[in-house]
Amino acid sequence: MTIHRLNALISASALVATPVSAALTAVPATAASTKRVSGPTVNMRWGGVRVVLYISGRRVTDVHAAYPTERSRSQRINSNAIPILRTEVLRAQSSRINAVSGATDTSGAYKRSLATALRTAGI
Amino acid sequence: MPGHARIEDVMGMPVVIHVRDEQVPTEAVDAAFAWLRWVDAVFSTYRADSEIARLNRGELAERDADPLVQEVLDACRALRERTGGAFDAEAAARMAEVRVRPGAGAGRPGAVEPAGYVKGWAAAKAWELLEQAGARNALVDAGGDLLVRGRPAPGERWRVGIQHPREDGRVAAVLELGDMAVATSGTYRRGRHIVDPASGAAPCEVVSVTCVGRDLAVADALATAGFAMGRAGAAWLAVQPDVEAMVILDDDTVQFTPGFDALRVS
Repeated sequence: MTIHRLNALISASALVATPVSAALTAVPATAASTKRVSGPTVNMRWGGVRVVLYISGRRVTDVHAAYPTERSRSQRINSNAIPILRTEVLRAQSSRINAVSGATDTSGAYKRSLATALRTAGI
Repeated sequence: MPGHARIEDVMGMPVVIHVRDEQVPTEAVDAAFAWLRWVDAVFSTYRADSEIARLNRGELAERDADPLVQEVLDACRALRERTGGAFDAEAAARMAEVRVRPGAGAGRPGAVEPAGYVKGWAAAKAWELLEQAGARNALVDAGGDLLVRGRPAPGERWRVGIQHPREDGRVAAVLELGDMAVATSGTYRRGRHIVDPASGAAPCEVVSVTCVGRDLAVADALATAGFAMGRAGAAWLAVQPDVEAMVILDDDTVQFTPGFDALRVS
């Protein structure tokens, strides 16, 4: 076993993605160069989530999700999950990660898996 | 993008299947998820009617159980031997938060909770179903324990991040992998949930253990065992021939085996 410091492990380029706000400002989702692409519908515990990606060139510039709002629990989960999903997707493309291994727990695993499902090649 | 990408909520966790081969029919992905639902119905301690629940109540003898139940319980016993008791399906069934489940046997001697093995084992068999249907390039992710096969796209390698133990949306390492499995055990979100059967105490210094190997079920069980061993886990994992390991401690120290380091791209 070799010993390292956690923060020294990761090169800046792998971790520091363009902040979501900066990415959105740089390429607004309505810009002429940006394509709106219907992504997968993913079946989550609270129902189907239909994902819409805004893509400029090979970059995802924004992620929107249409999700059921009929149940208060759904709204609570989604209000947490979707902003984090946006961050995850935008972050993941900078380091081109296909999936993340982590301890199983409900909230973290759902966020990771939603992001994993969206990490299709070329995005 | 050719292929399939699907998430379903199975076995109490999100399972993601990506298949990157054009010719694999949707029915193959359906069959993989149907398999995982069958595994849940047979093995879950959250269900009072699973075979494990009936075994744990003493209503079903192991020799009369489904052959796959016997296969799993044999594997769990072998792993208990191999890990010196750090992986122990019987000790898992006695844990306070497990024994209250309807199928956990309420502390009855001999009751088992094999979930720590079943998850990786079931995901690996889901991959075998996909492979039989012609898949060559795929990812199966069962709640953060995952396997990859082939490539995500021609000329590319699968890249798998390891969850940062304290920060959502960050990774502690990125691996580039061919045909490999990755499993992580840790305490970081739910509070400490893995107990060393020998001491009954949660290890306090190790926050995350990741194992990489060919066999997801083994990687998963050894990550669980290595985590339960606490500080001794890193040295034990370092001499296991079939996994490479990374251990993160709560002072941000990270230890890897040389083979794990070789897989890292950041």
